[in-house]
Amino acid sequence: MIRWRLAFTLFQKEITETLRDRKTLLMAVGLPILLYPLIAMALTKLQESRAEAQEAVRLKIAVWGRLPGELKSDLERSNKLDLFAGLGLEAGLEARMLAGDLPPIPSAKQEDEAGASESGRATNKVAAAVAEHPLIVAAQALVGARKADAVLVLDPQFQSQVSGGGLARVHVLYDSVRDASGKAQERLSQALEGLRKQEVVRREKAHGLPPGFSKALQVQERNLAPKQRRTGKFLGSILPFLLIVLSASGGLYATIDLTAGEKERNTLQTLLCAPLTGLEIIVGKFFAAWVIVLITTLANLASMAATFARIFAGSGGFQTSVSTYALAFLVLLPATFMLTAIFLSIAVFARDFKDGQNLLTPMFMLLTMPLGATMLPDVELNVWTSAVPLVNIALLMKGVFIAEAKPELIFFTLLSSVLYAGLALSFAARVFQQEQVLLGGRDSWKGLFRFSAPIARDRPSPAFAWTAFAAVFVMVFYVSQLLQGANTIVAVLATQYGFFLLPNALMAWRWRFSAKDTYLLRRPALSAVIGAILIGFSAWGVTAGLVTRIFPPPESFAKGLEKVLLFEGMNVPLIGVWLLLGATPAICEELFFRGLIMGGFRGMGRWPAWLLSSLLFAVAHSSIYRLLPTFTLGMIIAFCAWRSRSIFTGMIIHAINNSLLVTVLHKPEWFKKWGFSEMTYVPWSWGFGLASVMGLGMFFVARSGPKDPVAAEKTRSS
Amino acid sequence: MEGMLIAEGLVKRFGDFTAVDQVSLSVSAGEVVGILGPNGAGKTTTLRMLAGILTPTEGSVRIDGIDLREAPLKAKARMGFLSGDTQLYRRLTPRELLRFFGKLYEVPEPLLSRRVDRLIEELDMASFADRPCGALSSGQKQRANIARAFLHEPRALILDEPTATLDVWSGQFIVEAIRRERAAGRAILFSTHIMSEVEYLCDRIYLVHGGRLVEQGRLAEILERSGCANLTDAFLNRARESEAHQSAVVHTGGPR
Repeated sequence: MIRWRLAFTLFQKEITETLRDRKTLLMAVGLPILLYPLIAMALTKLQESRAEAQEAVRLKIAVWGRLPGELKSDLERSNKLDLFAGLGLEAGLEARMLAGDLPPIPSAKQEDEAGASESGRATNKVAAAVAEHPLIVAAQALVGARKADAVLVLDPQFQSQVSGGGLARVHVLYDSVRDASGKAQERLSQALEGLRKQEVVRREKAHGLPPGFSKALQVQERNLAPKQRRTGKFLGSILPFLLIVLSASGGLYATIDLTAGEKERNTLQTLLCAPLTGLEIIVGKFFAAWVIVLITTLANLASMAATFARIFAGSGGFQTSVSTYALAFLVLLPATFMLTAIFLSIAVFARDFKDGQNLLTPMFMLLTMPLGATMLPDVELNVWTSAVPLVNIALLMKGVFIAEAKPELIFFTLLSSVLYAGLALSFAARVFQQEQVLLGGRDSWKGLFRFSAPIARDRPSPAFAWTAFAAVFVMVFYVSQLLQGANTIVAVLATQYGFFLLPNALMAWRWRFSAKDTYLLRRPALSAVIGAILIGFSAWGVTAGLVTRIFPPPESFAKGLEKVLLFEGMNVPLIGVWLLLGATPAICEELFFRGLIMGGFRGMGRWPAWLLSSLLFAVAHSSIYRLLPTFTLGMIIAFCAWRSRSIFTGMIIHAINNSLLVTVLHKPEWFKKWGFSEMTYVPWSWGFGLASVMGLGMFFVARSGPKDPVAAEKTRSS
Repeated sequence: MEGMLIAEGLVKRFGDFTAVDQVSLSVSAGEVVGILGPNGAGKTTTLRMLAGILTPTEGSVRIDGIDLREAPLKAKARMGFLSGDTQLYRRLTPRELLRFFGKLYEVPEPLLSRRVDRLIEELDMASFADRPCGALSSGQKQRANIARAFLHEPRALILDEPTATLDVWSGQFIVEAIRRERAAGRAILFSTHIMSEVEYLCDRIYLVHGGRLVEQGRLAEILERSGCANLTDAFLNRARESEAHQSAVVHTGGPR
């Protein structure tokens, strides 16, 4: 029998103790009270402002067929619609349409009837007639490319039917997955309904008929989005949020257990007195936690895929393939990496498990709350959102589900996510070096952000190099977006001097990095200079000639780059071009990438230093198509600067390489006899010839210094 | 100063509070040295600095001639640390735990298996070597823990109250294990509150109070200087003297 008096005494003690824990009280009461009004306020504001913006925007309608002038002005005047006759319709197809040579577009009703007949053959026939109809195909291409928000297709006899009192038919073709297109369909339908009513009233009056006798206008709406995209839109609006939140929750407990749990169980000091570095401990723990998060993610994805497959299979509409889920998992990798690193660095501050929960729950909310915005219909991945941590991954997944992810944006999203993840891991490693934090103290927050003490040496650490790159990259990324309207000269000068050279100089001054050791500011040997000149004139044969064959950029990208490099038609003398596009990047970028960044990674050994600095050099050029050629050039320059122990070797190669390439663009007539303008690719013979010259140059550079200058210096100094 | 384990001028400050102030000590190979002091005297902080868990604010530590600050990994590889409150991974068995630490200390594989088997036998762990550590008694856990500290055959052992939570029988077992390690030539620094263990085990003794060394020497020398008949009385006397001295310094503002 329970002795209630004693149980109540125990209850009193427990509740007193719990309520005296202010953090528990805050989490149990304070947070929910604050959280929901905040979320509601933020989302409502966001939705309101977006709805207002969407209402204000004028939508672009392609009109295929002959639209009477008065109808056109009626549609345009009242519904914020801009109509473009014949937009995106090839002349041949337009002629066939107007001549009535095309089969009619099956109506949605016909499709439904075929589906209801339960005859697979009938359904397939109608579906194929829709999918292969030339007007549907052309409209899908036009709306998919966002050149129009919807297409209005008028029957060839539209005008005669209207004037002759017959039934005039129109088709509204739209893509329900695109919010603007859905909106366009809505506005068009409303406008057409208004017109239909007007016409009916006019006819009834003219013929003395009772109201409602005539129909006048038949509007047939056709959704251009295939079922896969429609299902994808539904899944894409909720799944990214759910998946990231659920994956993160898996990491929450794993990271607390691995850090605060270990402190609570008094097992951490056995690791701390073992011959291990702080970084080794954090990396080991990090990967353990990440594996748990990945297992959680996989379990969630598999369960969701199976569940949705079952639900949608019943309704006959499930179209999301296994590969889409696999792609979603890949996209989630950097997000889970970053979340794990952040959680680990916060959890390590906790003294025990409960403390860990109190610290991580607000962080969890803070990180996942902005994801709510990604569920709003018209929030999409663009250049700006691609750099917002976690939100970019959720939006990219949304794009993956509706098969609408652009390669450039995927590149930016994954790149920025990997950068943030690296930063979070560096921070976690830094936290692990704070002995007071590890032993349960709290008095070292200041120490965490004090960089001077741990970097009291003449060159930066790898974590410093990584952080410096991330900071500069984010600045360059956003500022280059802001400078898009400005001319190329301003953009080049601002980026190179403002974001590569100036921060680099400030860091060198603030942390007193050695000019010789970090920045390799040494006079190169004569053989290194000769080698650098040979490489400068020949490296393009390898980077532009051979590497771009493996991964050729699209024509539009090449044209765009060409336009920028030609200063968009501005008349700049050749010497100015060389200074701006040859010498300036050679100085600013070399001091940053082969100086600060490679100097930071130098302690990891030559290969990691070359590979990482070249990778970041390639990444900084912000284009997936330039990644491989720039990486290759970076590796060549890194090798030369390293072996010659001089940044000037790198600068010579960089300056000559860039100047040569821009000269070809600015003075095509000089190179006419070599037939550059007719070449799609640099011929193999040229490529191999130039590669041989480059090899000779590298031989000269290699001769100028020892194989491993760092080891040689150590030997000399000892 | 000569010895396998040497600390010179160790100081540890936490903000304005000085936990350890100018502590220097040495332990030679084949010697057990006791470090005694009341709670809060700075013993554990000193031992943690010697073990490389805490970084000294000032001073240096050398293990087998290797400076702990300059080459922490090499120095730590030559040292074993055990404290009374160190716990084991609950979900690992003692055998798994020993193999895990053996790998961390980079003990090569055939040797590691032999050492694990030998320690399990020597420390009488066979009956529980394959049970999860969470299910073991305090004495069994401490045996597994001491096996962990001995596994890589360190030159120096730092033991912080290793018998504090044990019953007499288990405590005695650990004490005998320490004697065996001394016979094997290890330098052992040992802190405890149990005076009989000190009298039985220690070749020399350091007495710590208020973060400072207040007495040191062989047992007989300390007894002679204090005029007391046993170590407990000598310890209490020295502690009271140190407290009185510190109070006087506080009240008078110290020498000017």
